[in-house]
Amino acid sequence: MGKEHKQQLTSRQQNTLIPDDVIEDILLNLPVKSLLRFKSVCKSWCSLFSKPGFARANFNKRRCNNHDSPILRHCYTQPEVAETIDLDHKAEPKKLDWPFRLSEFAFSYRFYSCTDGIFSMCWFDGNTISMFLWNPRINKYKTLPTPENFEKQVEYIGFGYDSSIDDYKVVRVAWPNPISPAPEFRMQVLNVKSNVWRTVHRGAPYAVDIITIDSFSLDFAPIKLVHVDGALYFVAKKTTTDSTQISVILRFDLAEESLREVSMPPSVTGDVCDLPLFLEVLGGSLHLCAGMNLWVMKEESCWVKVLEFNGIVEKLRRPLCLMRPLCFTEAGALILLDFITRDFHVYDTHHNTVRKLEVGGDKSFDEVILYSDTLISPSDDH
Amino acid sequence: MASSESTTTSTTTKVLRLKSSDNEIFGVEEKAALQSETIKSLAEDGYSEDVIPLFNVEKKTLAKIVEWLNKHASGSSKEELKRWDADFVDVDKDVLYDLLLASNYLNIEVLLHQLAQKVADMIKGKKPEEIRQLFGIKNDFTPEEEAEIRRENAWAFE
Repeated sequence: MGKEHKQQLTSRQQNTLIPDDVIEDILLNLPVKSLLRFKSVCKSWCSLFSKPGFARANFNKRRCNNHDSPILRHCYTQPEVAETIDLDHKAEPKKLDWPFRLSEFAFSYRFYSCTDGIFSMCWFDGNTISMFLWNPRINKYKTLPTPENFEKQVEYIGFGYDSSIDDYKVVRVAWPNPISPAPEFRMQVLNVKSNVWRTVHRGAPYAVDIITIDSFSLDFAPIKLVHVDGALYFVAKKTTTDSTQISVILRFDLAEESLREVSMPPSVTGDVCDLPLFLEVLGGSLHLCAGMNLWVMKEESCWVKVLEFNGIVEKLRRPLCLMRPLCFTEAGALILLDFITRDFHVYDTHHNTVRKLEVGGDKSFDEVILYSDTLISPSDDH
Repeated sequence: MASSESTTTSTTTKVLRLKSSDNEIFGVEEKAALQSETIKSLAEDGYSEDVIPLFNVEKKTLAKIVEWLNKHASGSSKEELKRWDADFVDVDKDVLYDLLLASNYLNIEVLLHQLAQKVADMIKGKKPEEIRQLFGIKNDFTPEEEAEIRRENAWAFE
């Protein structure tokens, strides 16, 4: 931690001599829930926990140590249904505390993604559509300018942290006319501090993966732009020299703002007739669901197969189900979401067993997003 | 040390002698002892041939610290070390407190982080009042300010 946090963290009594930097070291290890509670210990703790440097150091520390697996599940037309659940710790679902009164925007809203505990999302109040970043845990949000033709075309939105400039970048990939033979492709970036959209790529030969959209129904698809270690990844289609279309994985580097293809596992051809490819981030690593297989990218373009879903599907005695892997538990089991029944399952990778995870609350949700509890504010001037 | 006849580059492992505040001397292999940045700089300042005085660490705490230093220089496997560390920090509050202060004074970063994590695990479920008592902190909020923080973070108080 930098020197800027030097302050009297405790008003000591004679018998306590724990230096402030040691106290800060202890506090950095605490979960967000404890830190929010300990805001009421004294003023210096309260202000320490609001500092961007502390918030990030706490998040980085816990990210190495823990396997938090809280999720948000929600329904696009019913904001009151949105709730968070900690799948690993069997906590009761908890309704989301919105930063505004629900009656004011009872029309629709959408979560795009979650990075470092901050959701990128939009809401439509019947007249205008707004885009914003929101950390529900500390109830801080920042309104972003809406890009041109926002939510009127096929678009993916994601965001991530660019450590080289200590800022978040929101990225939009849009296809104004996705079904045209040569659809225009456009990537735009917004630096959160400057809050202005700029176009970084245009007309590159990538088409939207319509199959992904069709086969999952638009609402219940996984996150489209996933964030791992300073880059965003997504699946798109491209036309090869012999005029066939294949699916490819694209990597957008947040610092360089460069876009390139990432090679796929050897047995994955990208044939558009196969089951759609989709990307997930599990345990901080990029995973690819291709057909009935789950792969992890160990390092750039080095894929290792994690498991085959066939065995799980057999055990569940269901003809075919589309499973979405959500997260690993502390014990190393994999939590899966059945797209069709909306049940959660725990797959023990060591013993090759599956059991249903009993989760309370109702099942009228459209989407599930993995998030983390953090103190990181989207509206800080770092 | 005046005339040391054999300031040779011997291949036998060198042993540093650490003296606790209550004058107990512990012999520790140099490799193990130098995990402490404080001991390292004292050794570099010429104490290495003599006894290194550690004025802020009592013998019962220094004995534990020496145990840790030896274990972490023994080449144990990662898993073995993980298990051993978990047992090592599984001590009562007062011992933990002494170890925390000693590892801070001796500047043994790895141990300090392990202890900080252990203390965090111990306190994470506590109430603000208990935390104040534990760390000797005075509540400088007005009742209104405190109620406001509780209201804003109701989730954390459930």
